[in-house]
Formats: sequence, C-alpha cells, structure tokens
Amino acid sequence: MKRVAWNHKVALLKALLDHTSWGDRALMLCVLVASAGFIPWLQSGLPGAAAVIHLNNEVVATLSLQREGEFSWQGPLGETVVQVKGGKIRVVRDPGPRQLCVLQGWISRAGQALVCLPNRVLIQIPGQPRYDSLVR
Amino acid sequence: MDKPTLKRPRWRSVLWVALGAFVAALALAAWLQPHELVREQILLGTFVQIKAYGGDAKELRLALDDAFAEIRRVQQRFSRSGTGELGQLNRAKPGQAVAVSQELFNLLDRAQRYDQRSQGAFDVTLGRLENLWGFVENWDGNGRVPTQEEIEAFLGRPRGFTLERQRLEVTRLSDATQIDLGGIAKGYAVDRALDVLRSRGLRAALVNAGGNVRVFGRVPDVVLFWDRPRPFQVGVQHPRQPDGILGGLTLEAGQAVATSGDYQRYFIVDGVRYHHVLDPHTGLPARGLISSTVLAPTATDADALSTAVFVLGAEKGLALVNALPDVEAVIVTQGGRVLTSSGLDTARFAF
Repeated sequence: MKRVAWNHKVALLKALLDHTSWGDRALMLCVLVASAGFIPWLQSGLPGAAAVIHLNNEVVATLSLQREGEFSWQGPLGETVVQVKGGKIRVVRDPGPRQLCVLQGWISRAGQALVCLPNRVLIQIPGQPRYDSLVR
Repeated sequence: MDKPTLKRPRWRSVLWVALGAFVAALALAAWLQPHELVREQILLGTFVQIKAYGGDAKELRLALDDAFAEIRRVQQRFSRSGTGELGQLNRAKPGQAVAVSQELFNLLDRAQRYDQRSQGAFDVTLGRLENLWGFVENWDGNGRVPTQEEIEAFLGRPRGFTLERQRLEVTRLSDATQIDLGGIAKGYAVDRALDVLRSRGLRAALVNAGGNVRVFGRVPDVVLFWDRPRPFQVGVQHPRQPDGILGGLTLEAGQAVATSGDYQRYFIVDGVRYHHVLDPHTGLPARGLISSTVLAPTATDADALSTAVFVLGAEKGLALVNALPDVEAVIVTQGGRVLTSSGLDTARFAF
C-alpha cells in the first residue's frame, strides 16, 4: 500500500517536471517563497499568540488565543474559568475573595498576565512586551 | 459554425496573474504604511529620543529638526550658569528686580507653585547647595560630601525670589539664591518639543528626554491594509535591575510620565551612595525612595512632581499625588516595595 502511494507521488512529480519549462519552475519557486515570506510579516503585527496557564507554579496548559472557548482549572479554592475570544483572554470566574483577576478584564499582548493568587492560577502571555520607550 | 470555446486558461498564466496580484498588493500595502522616524541626540545632559509618525518622510525630518532645535533653545535659555537668560539672572545683584521673558517668568511662577504645593519639597533655589556636592551643571561624574558646617551655612541663609507680574520682574532675595530649574527644565523642553511636532500635522509622536516622556496621538499599527492605531506603551525600568521592567504604562493623548531616582546622578563614598535629588530641608540627598515615577497631563508637571514625590517619600508623596486630579504615581521604596497611587488602574499600568 505504501509503495503504491510513493510511486504515485513520484509519478506526479515526474509529470510536473516533464510539462514545465525552467521558467515555469522558477515562477513556481518565486510564488512559494513569496507566500512563505508573507507569513512572518503578518505575524510580526500580531500581539500575542498564546497564553500559558500555571497552576501551583506548574505549567498546566498552553492556549492558543486564536481558538475561542472556555476553559477551567481546579485550584485549592475551587474552579477558575477563563475565556478566549478574538485573540484575547480573560478570567470569567474565580473563587478568590477580591476578584482581582476577574476585574482586570481582557489581556492580549505579549508580557501581560492575569494573576488569581488565592487559587494559585497564573495566566501569562509569554514574550518580550514591546515598549515604544523606556523610562528609568 | 462552431461555438467559440472559451480556452481553459493555462495554469501558467494563472500563476503569473497570482504573482502579479501578490506583488501589487504588497506594493500597495507598503505605500499605505505610515512612516516612522526615530532620532536621538545628547541634550539637556542626557539622552533625548524622538519618535514621530506621519505620512510624509520629508515632513517628518523637518519636524524633528525643529523639535530638536527647540530643545536646544530651552537648554540654552534655562541653563543656570550659562550665558542664557537664567544664567544672567543668577549673576545679577541680589535685591535687584530683573525683567525677564514671559517664558522664564511663567516657568518660575509654576516652580513656586509646586514649591508651595509640595511643602517645600520641590525647590528651585538649591543651586549653591548642588555646587557644594559637586553636582554642577556639566557634571563630570565626580562629587564630594560637604561638611556639616557647609550644609548648615547654606541652610541658614535665606533663599528665595519674588515675582512681579505686571513688569515680569524677578528679584532674587540673596546671593545664596541660585535658581536651578533642573527639576523642571527637561519636562518643559519635552512639552515644547511636542508642541512643535503637534503643529506639523503629524499622526503621532513621542519625546523621551532622559526619562521624561510625553506623547500625542496613537502609534499606527498596520497589517497589510488595516490600521488599528494603538496607544503608546512606555516601560518603567526597575531602579536596580538594568534589564528588569517594573511595569508598562499606557499613555493616551498628551499624557506625560517622568521618573526621579537615586541612580541618575550619584557618586559613592565609603560605600554610601550620594545622589543628586537633594532634600531642601536637610541639605542631604533625599532618602526613603529609590525611584518615583509620575504620570501627569504635561511633562513639566510630571518632572516637577516626580522630584517632589521623591523628596517627600512614600507617605507624603502618595498623599500629594492622590490629592491631585489626573496625576498618578508608582514609587519604589528603599526596602524595595513598589507602591502606587490610588487612581492607577491596571488598564493604565500593568506589572
């Protein structure tokens, strides 16, 4: 079965090479390279791609900020629920008494974090936060 | 007659068109991208950086030329010992009314008000004391610890100046009064530079003069054809860790931030750090805080208040900030504790 699939691929490749000129192949290469180069350029404009969830100082999950949904973890005080939507993440519910991490709202930039200290949950968007300027 | 058949386009032509469209899209996106110009110069005894955003590259260059020229003008005019207006005022006979420009008068007026508001913590008459410590205008990195007698002699002499509004006159009360606008001049220069940039019709700009920052507009953030301008983000560096960041401040429309610290100008003698932010009541470097960062509506306010808060210390400093509308602060105590004013929400400042 495997052999047939491989032969099939080789045959296709041969057909491609037979029916194209050097100019064609150069063109295909250009388009491929250009498309590949496009992606990092797009990426550089995006804030943060993922959020790392820590529970009791251990990484328990990495959430892509592009995949929407609600997720929860069980800490010592109860359940902390986070929501990912539109490239952002926030804490929806948390058993902490002062609700500080809930009140913080949405975060989306590299370097930002939500801390639900009582329940030992830390949500962090890794990366160097990009600052326009520094004061010291 | 045969129906004319539509020739199926060869895949090669399709590829050419695709490449052409792609290149055209990139070119258009590049053309739509707003320009950014960044320039640095050593001025005001520190590192000055200006970032500006606008549609026209040449316009940006000229605007930056003028902005830096304005900073040089302010530096020259308000130098305490130079040939400019303030230097001349400081060399005039005490007790003599000296007519000054509206600009210098206004700045001295503001300085006096900060002095009153901060119970004397912000004091622009410390020129002679600074000289005793070696913190002269073109500081070379060296300093000396004055004797107790020298400090007491300075504190014992009356200091101050009066302002006469109608004729724009300033009278220094004594020879001991040497006006030093160092605690406010950088902020003022930033405000002036920003005014120049704003008047040029640019989209946004940021001026940072040695930690005094002010902005206007929002940073263009373009991905292909979509521009979602975002507010400027300023990182507040940790006073003791060169790579550490205390947190990030989001600056909106016209806001300014300034930091005073014990690490900006200092020297060490016998293991003790002596820095340049002197407490007018003791004649010694202010102790209690290692840094104070103030967010305010103008850079002049931020500069003066960061000095005042630093001298006042944690309790009185934060009390002053909490009493002022539109002013917030982040301070770091000698013990390393980070404290913030009551109005600083996490949307504005995030650790």
